[in-house]
Amino acid sequence: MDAFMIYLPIAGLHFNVLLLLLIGFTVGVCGGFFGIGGAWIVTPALNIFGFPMPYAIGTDLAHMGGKSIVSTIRHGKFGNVDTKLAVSMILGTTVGMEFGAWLVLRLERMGLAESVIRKIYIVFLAAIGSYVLYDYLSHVIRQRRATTSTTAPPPQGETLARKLQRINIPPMVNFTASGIRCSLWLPVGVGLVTGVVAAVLGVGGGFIRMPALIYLVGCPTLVAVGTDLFEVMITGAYGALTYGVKGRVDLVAAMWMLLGAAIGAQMGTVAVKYVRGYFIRLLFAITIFIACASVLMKQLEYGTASAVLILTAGIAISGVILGLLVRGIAQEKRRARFE
Amino acid sequence: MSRVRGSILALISAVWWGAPSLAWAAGGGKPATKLVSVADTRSATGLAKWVGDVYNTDLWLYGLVVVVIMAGMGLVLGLAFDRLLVLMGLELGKLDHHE
Repeated sequence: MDAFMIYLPIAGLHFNVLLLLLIGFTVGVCGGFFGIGGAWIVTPALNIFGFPMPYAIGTDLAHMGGKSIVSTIRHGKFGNVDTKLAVSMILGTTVGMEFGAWLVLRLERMGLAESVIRKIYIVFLAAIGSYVLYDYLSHVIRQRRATTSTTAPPPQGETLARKLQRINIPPMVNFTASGIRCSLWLPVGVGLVTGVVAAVLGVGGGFIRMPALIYLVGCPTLVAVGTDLFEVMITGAYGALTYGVKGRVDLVAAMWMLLGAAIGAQMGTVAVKYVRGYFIRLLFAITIFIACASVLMKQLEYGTASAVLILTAGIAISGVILGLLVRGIAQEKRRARFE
Repeated sequence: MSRVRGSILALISAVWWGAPSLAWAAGGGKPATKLVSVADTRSATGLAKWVGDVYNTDLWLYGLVVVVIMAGMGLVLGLAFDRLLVLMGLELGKLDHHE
């Protein structure tokens, strides 16, 4: 295995290049499929294999920017990126993140930051995961009733997103790719809230924005994935610059990871073609529960076990996604042969 | 009177000259200069050496290099793999947003 060891001059350590490719590939598959940056996989994974924490965060952010470009290009061609919506949200996210950072400083001064933030994080992840899972199960039950019943299925109650879309505060904007019309202030406000939460929790925010785009703005799942990736691309580039200027990015490691991530991101992105939106939501809920368990373990001071759990789960989830991709391609080829 | 004044003056001078040394000894004094991170490029070769040298030269330049390389790689790899998928014969047109 020595043949695969490379020297990383910034982090100051020797590292196995295959491991960098594997971490990049795993997070690339998950990121392309769910529309997230994947810091919750990469940062503990790099840390557990010897990267000091600030370098793990900086290197992750740097490769995240590049990886999101790969996914955004493909999602864009699939028609899953609503650029107008993404730009509106970025405005809110930027302000929200600044406010969140200020809030964290206040909590730190009160000596509450560490414990309070991690507890909020656990509750937040559990709440998002539970809601997405509940939504998936309700959808499945509705579908089953519709197929077994002879009468028409009862109409679905008005969603929160529909109610929010009806709020008439000018300017009202048509978001064509998402197929929605709402006040500009809705995505700006959602961006603001998710920005505050992301900054307070110290995460990139992809896994908060993706469900927020579905349940608050009313985007179809695939557009939420693509639009979120557009935002991750911008925040990743900004993070790469700030951490790079502080000298906390190992560029050599980031380049190897990006190589693996680019392949994975392409596969993860194409996999969305072969699944229905609700299935993405189900896998997303499972992923969130695993992330929640990992943070809980960290809170209980099982740091290494928590990192191992998240890395193993990341590999398993990307395995499932790749399975879906292979099955989808095989079906497509079979169909093409018959036609 | 002049003896008292002399003693007070001596005390003030002692405090004046002695206090900084005492403060220094107690851990005060001038703040230390900012720590500088340096990449160890002695055993590095090729790309690693170049990256380390840029890092040691100017961190702002390094930050810009990080962004440019990541964005450039993302763009090139994204377009290259995209082309590869087209060559594989997959249908990659616009998707229906079915839930």
